[in-house]
Amino acid sequence: MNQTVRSAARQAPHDAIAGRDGSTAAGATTVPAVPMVHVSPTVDRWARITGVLAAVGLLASLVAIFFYAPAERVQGNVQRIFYVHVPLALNAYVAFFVVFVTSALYLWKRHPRWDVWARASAEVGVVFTTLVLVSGSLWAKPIWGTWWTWDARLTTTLILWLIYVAYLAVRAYATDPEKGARYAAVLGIVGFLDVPIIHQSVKWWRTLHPGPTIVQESGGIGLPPAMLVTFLLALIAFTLLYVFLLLEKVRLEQAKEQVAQYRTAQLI
Amino acid sequence: MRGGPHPLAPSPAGRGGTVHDRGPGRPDGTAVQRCLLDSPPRVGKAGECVDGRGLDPEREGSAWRQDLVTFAAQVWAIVWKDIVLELRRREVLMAMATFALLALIVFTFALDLAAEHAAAVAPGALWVAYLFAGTIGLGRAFALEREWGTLEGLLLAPVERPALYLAKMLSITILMLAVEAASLVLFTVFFNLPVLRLSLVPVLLLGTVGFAAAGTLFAAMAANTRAREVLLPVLLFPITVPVVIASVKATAGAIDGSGPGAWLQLLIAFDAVILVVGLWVAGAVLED
Repeated sequence: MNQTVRSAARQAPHDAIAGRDGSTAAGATTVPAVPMVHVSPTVDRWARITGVLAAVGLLASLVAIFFYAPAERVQGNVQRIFYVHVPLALNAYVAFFVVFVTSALYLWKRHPRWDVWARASAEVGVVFTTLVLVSGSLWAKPIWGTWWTWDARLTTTLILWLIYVAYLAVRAYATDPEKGARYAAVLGIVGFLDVPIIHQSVKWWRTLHPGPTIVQESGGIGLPPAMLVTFLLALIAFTLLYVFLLLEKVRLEQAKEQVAQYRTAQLI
Repeated sequence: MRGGPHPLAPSPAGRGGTVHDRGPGRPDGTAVQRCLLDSPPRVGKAGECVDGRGLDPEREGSAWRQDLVTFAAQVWAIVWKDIVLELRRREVLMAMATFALLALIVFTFALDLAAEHAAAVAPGALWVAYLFAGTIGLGRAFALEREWGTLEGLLLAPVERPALYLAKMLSITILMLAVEAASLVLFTVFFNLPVLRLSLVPVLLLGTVGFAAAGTLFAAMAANTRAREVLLPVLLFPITVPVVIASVKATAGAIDGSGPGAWLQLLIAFDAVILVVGLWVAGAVLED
């Protein structure tokens, strides 16, 4: 099924679009030229490459997490979730930063190309943030003795999650996709700029989360080598996973846009 | 309203630099000439000083000030319209005030506000009542504009989008402040708490401006969606978490006399960020 979409999008040359453009140029209609989005072969190729790399990387880091990295002295095996939790969290931030940048570009250029990237990254970011919250809860129960506390980082992450769920909701409920894209872009910008302020306010409110572990405030590295290697491996693997999911989603959204354009072309 | 031409009325060319020619540049070059005579060129808007000759360095400073005056006049005209409308119909204000009063009464039952610990719960109860009332007001204000089709009117008027955003934000701020003042008096009467403090004024102002600045943005967005009653709080409350925390803490500080502390700075930071972004993206939100 996936393959069919891929090949259909590949085969479909630009002639349908060209036909529409031609009719416009002929002066039959006065429809303004709408910026087009096509499935990009580059995105398609890199989605395949990063997909394979991410699969290999994730398998390797799974092995490293359970067989190479030593058990932590105090927390025992429970600590191993750290290798999943932290890379996911870092990539979620990257995803929302990508949303911020592409949203700003969309509002500036108003080309649907940027909106495609923004919504793709937002969806992956929401999934990653959900996993961060769940894996954090799983770790907190044995270590803190509770699933959840209203600590600064936990609360900020929860609010971050709510903001980007609202981001997806405003798109879903918009009366037309172009409006949804504009509104979502505004939320993508406001939400991202709001995060430091939210974090500061919640931090003054209360704090419990473990401090920076990897790069400590003194500047030293706080992890033994085997743990650090495992962590870096997992970080690379999850970053590849993020890039793969982002590109795959972008490709899918581009195909959707293209189909929508073919439909409009046929109607006109 | 006042003497002189109405700020929203399109003024003829050559007077005071208020002409914003949005049409395509004319073949006879009148648009270009206007730019030279009156307003500074607006970069990025079609048809204005496209050839780049519009920049007149000697007049640029005063023209910029002239623009600011025009902007302020536009903002004031819309705010005044909203105030007059509210004074005549009191539709939004009554909804907000009634809701705030009811919320306080519900809190009394739910949290036992009249008991000893009233001082500890009061700031939270007050701000929840304000923010919910503000949400009701925002939803109502934009729903009315929609029902009467007046938002289209405002969008058609020769008003800069940021001016429209700022005006709507100020209108809702004024309404919220009125409700807040009234409910503080009621609170003092009902619960015998000395909440009428002068040190509360900056907290109320900054908190309300921050909430209204984000709220106007999202209410304008939510009004154009299918689930507007649901979407407004879903959009608004996560973003305004800093306002909630900082306002409640600062109010608690003002009531018990320890002062608002650094919370005011946090509110200022939030207000500044949201206002700057809001003015910047106003065009994207207030469109068609």
